[in-house]
Amino acid sequence: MDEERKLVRERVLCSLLKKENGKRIDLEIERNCSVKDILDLCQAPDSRLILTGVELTPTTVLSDLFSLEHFEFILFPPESRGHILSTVKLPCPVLIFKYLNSIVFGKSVEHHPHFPEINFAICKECVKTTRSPTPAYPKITCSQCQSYLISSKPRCSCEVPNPSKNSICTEHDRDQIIIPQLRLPENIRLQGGGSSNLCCICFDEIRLEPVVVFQKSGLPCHVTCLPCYERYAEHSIKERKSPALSFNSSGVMLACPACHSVPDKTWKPQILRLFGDEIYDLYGTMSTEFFLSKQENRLFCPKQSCGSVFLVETKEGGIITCPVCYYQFCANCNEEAHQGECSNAPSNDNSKSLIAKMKKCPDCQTPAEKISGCNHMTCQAPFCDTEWCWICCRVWSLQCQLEHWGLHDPGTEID
Amino acid sequence: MALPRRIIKETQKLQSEPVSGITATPDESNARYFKIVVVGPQDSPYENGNFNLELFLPEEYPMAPPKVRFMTKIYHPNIDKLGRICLDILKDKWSPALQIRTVLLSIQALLSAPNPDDPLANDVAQLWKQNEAQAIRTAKEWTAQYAA
Repeated sequence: MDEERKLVRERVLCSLLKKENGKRIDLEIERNCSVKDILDLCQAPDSRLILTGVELTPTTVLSDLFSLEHFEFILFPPESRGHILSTVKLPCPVLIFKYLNSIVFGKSVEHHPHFPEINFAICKECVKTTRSPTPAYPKITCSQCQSYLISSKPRCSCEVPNPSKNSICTEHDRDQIIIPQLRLPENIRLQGGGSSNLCCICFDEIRLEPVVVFQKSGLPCHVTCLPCYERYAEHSIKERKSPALSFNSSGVMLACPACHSVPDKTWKPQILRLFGDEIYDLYGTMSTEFFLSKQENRLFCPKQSCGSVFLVETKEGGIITCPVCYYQFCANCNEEAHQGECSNAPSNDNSKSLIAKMKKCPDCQTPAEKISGCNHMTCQAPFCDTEWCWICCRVWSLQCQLEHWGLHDPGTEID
Repeated sequence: MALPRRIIKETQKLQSEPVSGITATPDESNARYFKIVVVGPQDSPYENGNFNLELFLPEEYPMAPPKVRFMTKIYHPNIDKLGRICLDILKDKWSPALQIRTVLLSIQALLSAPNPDDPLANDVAQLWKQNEAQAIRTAKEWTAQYAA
């Protein structure tokens, strides 16, 4: 039992951050609870739970999502005026560190031909001191007492049921976040025969550290080193860059920087945890904004210093209170709340001259401003990508290429 | 700020293994600024022309694309009178896995238009068809006048 420690974990801690008052509420939840259970515990039974830009159904069981690793949700209050977006975090993220001696690993492979590709994991305690993830140590269940056993060595898949889904940090006795996208360069064979120890962003060789692996049609296509992945992720998320950001049924994810294929099931947003809370929070905001951008009943607070986005029951008439800054505005004209019937046209207290120069994407209606360049526009709204013409505001055509491409439009160009 | 290793590597490779028909010379005082000369591709209206371009690698490179501009006047449906180039990989289709070499090759390919295999050049091909004789004549005249 020296190598294996016993640990019982049936309940996990969930912390709920309420934006109304900035208070943090800690809740204990069952590992097998459903989305509906969480909403009940949060005393928000009519709310909606958004994960990576996708809404979860009330019957979704959390353990099915990320195999009881770390979750982070955006909790949506029911559509009504004056409600607030809240963030739910559960349970505490955990990571692992220290390198697995490659000789030990080599032996494991030799003795256990079925040992899966080695997984790397992170734990929040460890990530504070270092940024190099270590191989994941599997966690197994005792067949007699049902408690968890921690193995300090990687195990063969023939001994451990689903070892990639169960592991623990040997330093901190906590669940690890497994990052399936991290691998050792030596263990990867790339499509097209490229070198798996050459980062496709900085073009430098990688020998010892784990690399981030991208996949195309289920096979590894390109790799990057961790520092480049961090820069790529941060830049893509901040700039809302398509095609770097891709969307499918699993949510918003980072595509391969070289061939833009989507990593699909191997991508987990937890990889961003390696680079700190800031980038992870940025991702949460971006994916939630993406979800909101697809909702018809969304509104932006017209106050220039706020700009928060939220859902409303209806946009028709009346006074709306921004749930974040409590600014009260008229639903009809977007001006500060006023008495009596509103007959004003919709406006915005942002620079009106700027608004006047904006034109809208013919597909998604997202307003755009033009600073320089030709009239061939590409919509920058998340996942729209429509190519359109600044002159005629229609989808880009041969006609536009012939007649509008280089035309100067002094009335709308911003210096 | 120190020059990233990637830029040093790319510069060395461009000089040791230059792209055929293209010379790229880094500026003596600014290693992020390159003077480019592209030779007009054979069987194009730009044949026998030497086109000067400038290429600048911004601070965010390779996350952000290089900035490229034609300095020599050129008559081309995707290059405006200020030398700005309408090329997707220089804008939203940029990826950090692309490099100076791939950008220069794409510009060279743009000069070889019309190329029916290239979706962008497909437009060019149609444009060229509509005014073909006149367009090619003008392009050749400009090449002789400005890029000789």
